[in-house]
Amino acid sequence: MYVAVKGGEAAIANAHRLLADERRGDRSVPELDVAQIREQMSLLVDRIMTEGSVYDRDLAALALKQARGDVTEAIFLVRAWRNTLPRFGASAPVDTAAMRIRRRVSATWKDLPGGQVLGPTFDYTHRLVDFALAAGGEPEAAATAEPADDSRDCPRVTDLLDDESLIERHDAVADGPAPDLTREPLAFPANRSLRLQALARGDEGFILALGYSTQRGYGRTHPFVGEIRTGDVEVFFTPEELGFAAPLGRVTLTECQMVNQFHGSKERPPQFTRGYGLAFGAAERKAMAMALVDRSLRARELGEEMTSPAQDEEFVLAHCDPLQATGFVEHLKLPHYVDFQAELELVRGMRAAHAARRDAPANNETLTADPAPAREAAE
Amino acid sequence: MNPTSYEPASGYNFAYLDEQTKRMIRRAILKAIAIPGYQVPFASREMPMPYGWGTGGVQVTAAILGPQDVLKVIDQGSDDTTNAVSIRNFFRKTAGVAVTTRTADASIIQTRHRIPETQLSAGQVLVYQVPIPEPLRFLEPRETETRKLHALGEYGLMYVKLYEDIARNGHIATTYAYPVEVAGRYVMDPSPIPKFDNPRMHDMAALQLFGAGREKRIYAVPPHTSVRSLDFTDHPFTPQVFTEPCALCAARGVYLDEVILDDRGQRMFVCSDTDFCEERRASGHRGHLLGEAPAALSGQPAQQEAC
Amino acid sequence: MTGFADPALESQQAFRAIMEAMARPTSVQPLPTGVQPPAPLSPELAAVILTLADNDVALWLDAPLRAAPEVARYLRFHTSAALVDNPADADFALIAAPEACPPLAAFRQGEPQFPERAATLVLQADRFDAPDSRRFSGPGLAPDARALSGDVDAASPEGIPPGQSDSEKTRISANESGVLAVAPLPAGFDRQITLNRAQFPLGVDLIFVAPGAVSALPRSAILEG
Repeated sequence: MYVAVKGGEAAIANAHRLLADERRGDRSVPELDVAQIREQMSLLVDRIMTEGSVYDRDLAALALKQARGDVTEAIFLVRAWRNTLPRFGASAPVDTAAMRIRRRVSATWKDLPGGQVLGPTFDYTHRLVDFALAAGGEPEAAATAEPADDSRDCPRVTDLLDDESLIERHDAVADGPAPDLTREPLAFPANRSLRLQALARGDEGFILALGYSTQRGYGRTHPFVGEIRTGDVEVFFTPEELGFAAPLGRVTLTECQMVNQFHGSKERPPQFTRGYGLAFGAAERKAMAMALVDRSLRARELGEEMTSPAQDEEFVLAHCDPLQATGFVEHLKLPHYVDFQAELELVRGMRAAHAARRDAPANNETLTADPAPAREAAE
Repeated sequence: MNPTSYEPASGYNFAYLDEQTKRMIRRAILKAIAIPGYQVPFASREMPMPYGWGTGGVQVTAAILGPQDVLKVIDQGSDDTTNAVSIRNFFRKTAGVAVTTRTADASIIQTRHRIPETQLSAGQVLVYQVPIPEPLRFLEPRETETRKLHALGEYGLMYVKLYEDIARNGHIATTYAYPVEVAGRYVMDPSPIPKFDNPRMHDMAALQLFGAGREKRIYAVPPHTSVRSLDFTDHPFTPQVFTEPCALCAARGVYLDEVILDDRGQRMFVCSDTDFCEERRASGHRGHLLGEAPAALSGQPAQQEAC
Repeated sequence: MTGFADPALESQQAFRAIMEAMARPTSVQPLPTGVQPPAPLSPELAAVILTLADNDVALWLDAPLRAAPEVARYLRFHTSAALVDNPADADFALIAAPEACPPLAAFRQGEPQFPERAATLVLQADRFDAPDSRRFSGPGLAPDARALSGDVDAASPEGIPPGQSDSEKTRISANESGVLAVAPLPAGFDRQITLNRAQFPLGVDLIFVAPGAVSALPRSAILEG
């Protein structure tokens, strides 16, 4: 006989014990430590920091370890921890023009002030499995570059375009104080700052697919990669009691500025418009996809025809969060037997009514209010 | 119930949430009470449990809970479903509050999918976990549109949907999350409770609070407030009726779960509200299958039926 | 000049009193508090604001409160809330002299799509047992409250904590009578509160405090007769 299982506390505790055991895996294999994850799984750590909205490499690495490598679960741990921290305020906008460049490429100019800096990239690698890596061994030391002298020699491509008024200006002051998605509920229509926050926290896979869809005709925006840059910037914060901006430290960021065609309107001459992407760490795919989606979400503002999911602010923002999505999909495994019972009885009742109609004399043609409501009951 | 000592889990505030978050939720709760049935947006936080698993209800409970409270948590009417156990333990750990399974002893009851069978009284608060707070969502997916419809009190869409049900099936085919009109103004999703429970929301003595974490909405039904299930004069609202009594405690007029007993189609119907069922059995009520029920259901080995 | 000694527990206690008051309009809930604000800010008014305000909200102070700079200092220190000059910019209005309160319509009324964006007024009254009383109906008030109120002293300032005993339950019912006997009230109160209700779901929400207790009139409350 099948016995309905009741969820006892012991069952839950044992399940979690088993989980911890599985996380450890074969105990004859040395355990990963957080520093190893931080250093050797660094792109994964970057992704967890970006979608987790916390810049803390060790925390992200620890979360990844605890989550057995489940990225969404690790983001979850990081976000829930972040939530319990006091919020002191917003930092001053970081100046990415003053970034200490580690990588910087532009697809719009062959060469430009500051040059193209390939940096550590998978681009142009042949994706051949390196079986030698399985055996371990140290790679040769990185080639050393001449030290980048002054960041002012590496102006942003969009600033170069701006000199000719070829690209729209972005007036950060007009946006007002930066909203905080984690402190205010999302209201539609959202402003661009809020949208960018949602996209930065958004699931990389989802944002990637949406960005991809704009390249395939679903909300086309003719993008060029004006510039992608990865490097360190300094973060400043002005505490009320101090009254001036104090440096908090450096963070690594990846910024993508897409340059998109704009036909112009009655009020505005033709010019290029921007799509913007920003992520913690080295996260080029995310920053690029985000920039594509940012631009396509500006369809209404720019008077473009709205036909595609990537242009639909409500659709994108309501579904891009990895935790909201995973939580609600996975909640389907919670018990639903009260509601299912109600549906079960409804379907039984409707089947009985259907059978009665079928078996009744053929002259019963009109659709009548059958007695099914009364039969929405267990028998 | 004696107030328990306040020994929260180390490193976290009382009831997990920081004070600023609690204030934000409390302000939303007050507005929700002042505008019955209206969904107040709130800056829902990530909680240490997943969205869709009760984060809205947990945040509401955490914002109102105090050391004097006695908390009961149910899921599907039962205190010992895994998620109910997990949430109850969360508050026991983070707030050190007393917990109970007895409906009458609780000052706060957090629920998913049911209203307890025992009538609630003034001074109690019922906190519902809500997955999709917008009753019009499946008719109109856009928040900007549904918000307009609520502002205008324009609920024709909902009536059209219900009427189409009647045209197609001869009756309204919504069995749970059946929409209600609150205090004659807002149409509200009662959360996925079976429509059996709808009439009990009307004129309830207890305060009813609803939290939707992922969707970031809080709403409320004050005590003694009119809650009307939408219907038509020629097709009045009809809650489910179970013809047989609970197989364990013989209760009638309660919501029953169907339990499959074997692979030959044997089944029994038992109270969905486990506390209600246990109390009835404790006071001597006996259902026709009490002796044969699996121990996990009856809470006692089948052979000890004689005592 | 102290705030809450234990913010988590004291604000929770105060909030439950406020929540009960809002859920059962006109009921009088006990609001014991140990806060010591500068005059003319009363301890109860201070407790309500310390419970609900922080740097996410804007406060407006009426003339007597503005006249005492230590009140602004106290509120800034304990809540970090912004103090605004225009009543229409406030989330919460603190009214130490209800009889001189600006018209309710001067405060934020909410928007049709966002009615919750309306202001909450917290009025510092003297008493909840004034001879001059009015009766309200609406959500939170039992339809048969009229019958209940005949045989009990509806204006009893003893509030009822979430209790279990039958006698307490009876008293809670009595506290649901719908009779508001607060004094003083803003000038032309009956007309103003009727107009406020007429624009439901827009309109302001009122919280009254008096020594030791709190009561409320959400915008849903309907003035009878």
